[in-house]
Amino acid sequence: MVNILIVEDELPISNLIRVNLTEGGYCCNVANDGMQAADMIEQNRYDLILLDVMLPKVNGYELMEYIAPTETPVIFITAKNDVADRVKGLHLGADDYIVKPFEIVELLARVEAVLRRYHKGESKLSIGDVEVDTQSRSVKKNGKQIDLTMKEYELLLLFIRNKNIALFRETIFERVWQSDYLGDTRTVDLHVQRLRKKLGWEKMIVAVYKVGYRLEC
Amino acid sequence: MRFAWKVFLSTVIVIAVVFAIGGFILITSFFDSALSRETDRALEENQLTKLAYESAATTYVNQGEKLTDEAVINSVSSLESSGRRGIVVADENYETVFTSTGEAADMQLMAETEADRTYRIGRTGERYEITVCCRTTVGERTVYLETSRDITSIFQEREMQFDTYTEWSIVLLLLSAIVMLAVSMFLTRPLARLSATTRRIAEGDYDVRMRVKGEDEIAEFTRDFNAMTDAVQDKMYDLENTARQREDFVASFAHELKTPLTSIIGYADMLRSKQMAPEEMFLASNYIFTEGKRLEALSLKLLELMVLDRQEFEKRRVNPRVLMEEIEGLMLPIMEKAGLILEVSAQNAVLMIEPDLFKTLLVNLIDNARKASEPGSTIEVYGHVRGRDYLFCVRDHGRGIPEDEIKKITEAFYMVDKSRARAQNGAGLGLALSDKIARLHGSRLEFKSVVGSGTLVCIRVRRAAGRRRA
Repeated sequence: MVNILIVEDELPISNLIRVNLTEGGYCCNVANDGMQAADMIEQNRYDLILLDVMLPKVNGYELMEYIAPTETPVIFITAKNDVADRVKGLHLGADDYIVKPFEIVELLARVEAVLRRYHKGESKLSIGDVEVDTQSRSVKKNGKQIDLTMKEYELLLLFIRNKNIALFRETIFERVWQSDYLGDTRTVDLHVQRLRKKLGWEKMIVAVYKVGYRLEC
Repeated sequence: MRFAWKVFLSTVIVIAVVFAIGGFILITSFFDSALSRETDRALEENQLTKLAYESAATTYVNQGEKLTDEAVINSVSSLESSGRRGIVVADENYETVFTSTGEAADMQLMAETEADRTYRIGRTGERYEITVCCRTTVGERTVYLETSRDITSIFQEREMQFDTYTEWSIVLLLLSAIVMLAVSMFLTRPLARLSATTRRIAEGDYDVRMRVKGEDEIAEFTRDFNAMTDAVQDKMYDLENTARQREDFVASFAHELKTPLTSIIGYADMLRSKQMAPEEMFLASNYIFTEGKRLEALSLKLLELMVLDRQEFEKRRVNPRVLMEEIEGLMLPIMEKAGLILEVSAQNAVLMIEPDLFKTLLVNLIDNARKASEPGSTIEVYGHVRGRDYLFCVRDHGRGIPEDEIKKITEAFYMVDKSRARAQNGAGLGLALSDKIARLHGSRLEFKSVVGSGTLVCIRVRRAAGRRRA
């Protein structure tokens, strides 16, 4: 199980992150201020720390200096979107940053990416009879290799990581194609069709009316 | 070229020129007086020679002899004493009759000589002579009598003086040059120091100051320079401070805006894309609602703050007692709900204020007092006449404000106890707003606070002049 520490003084936000990460299969602890976070880091080992910058008592940057020697990966959560702030966080040794307000899909994707970089996430994902090995990038159904294109593979990962969550077409497009959604739904639809067909997942990837798709399992 | 060198060179040149001209004038005047002395003596000598000749010649004439050339020579030759004196005698036809020097008589000089004596300074080779000529007639014979005097010595003396003077001038000039070099270096050293200081300031070391020594212009300049640096530094700190405050404002604003937005967007995202249990849905939508409310409170306060910057306000004559009664009516239900006791008292007076803004200000202060107080405690609001002023005060017996926080509490978004302020839906703008209103009335908020025993906030407003008869 991956242990994640959430350092955030705003209860609604820390709750939001905790609920979604827990659903994503992570084990979460919450610290409400810098002092509490420092205590918790001292006592436990975490695989990832989500760190708000503006914290009471000890702020995120100060806490970062305390975290750095433990070599725990850190993602900053900040309301400031200017380059200087982001660079400062990255200079202090943060692995990534998330700018408030953020979408849950983005949060999960960034957490996933950082964990993957540290080989802390699980490299083998399995949904039903489909197995995905994220290290060798291979997909097997009932032990049989299935060939997927780059985009199809990314799409599959997105569905698996956000199972039971309705993914909006625009979200899918932005995540998989890494560019702004301009209203072209056919690209997404086409790739979802291909993926369904290759995996035999016609029933599992459900179309959500007027929204997009959801992986149900 | 360095200033020290300029001072040095110009001084040395002036000294050299003064030495040269002064020396020349001095030596020339020495020479002139020596020459005129020699000239006088030569003229005197000539006169004596003439008298001697005349007496000798008269002797000849008295003896009844004719004055021949020989007689003339006889009478003259005795006068040429041991060759120191040169005598030349010529007749009226300018023919040389006698010469002791071997030179012929000077024609031109004789021609110029009519009645009186004439003289001329002549040069032969290295020698200078002064030749004096006169005419004398004894016994129908007219002769020209020339005497000459050797004055080479005074010319030589002049040359010698020039040489000595030149030598000494060079020595003195060198000495004074050395002294001047030291002096000019010494005088311009403060300038070098000043320029070094200026360079350091230009490089960003704004704390450097010059030491002021003495009372001269440079000291004065140094003092002015220091004053200027102080002023620049102050101004810079002011600007830095303003920039920092603005930056803080932007950062806080972003934080205050984005925190509720994050919750709203996040929970809304959950609601639209997940199948959730009813109690989870309730929790999520409740978060959206409360955070939305917080955003609303923030935007309203911010709007008021901005409007205050833009708008012109019309102040009216207001009786603060009436104002206070209105506020009491407004706040009493809220206070009762919070379990607090509100005591309001006000004296009659006339103030020039904008009543709605002032009401906002007092309500804000009372609301802050409420947030700081525990149920059961008292909040006092009173208005007193204080000489020319009127004093509004709000006193609570709550938690108080730490001393080092008091300066910052009127900054926008500043919250002493963040988590508590959040819980009470505070955005950290109330006091920023109140302070702005107080400033619009030419006043400001004055805080007195003791941690643990309460806070007193006062606003002092100048009373309006007596009511005119309508």
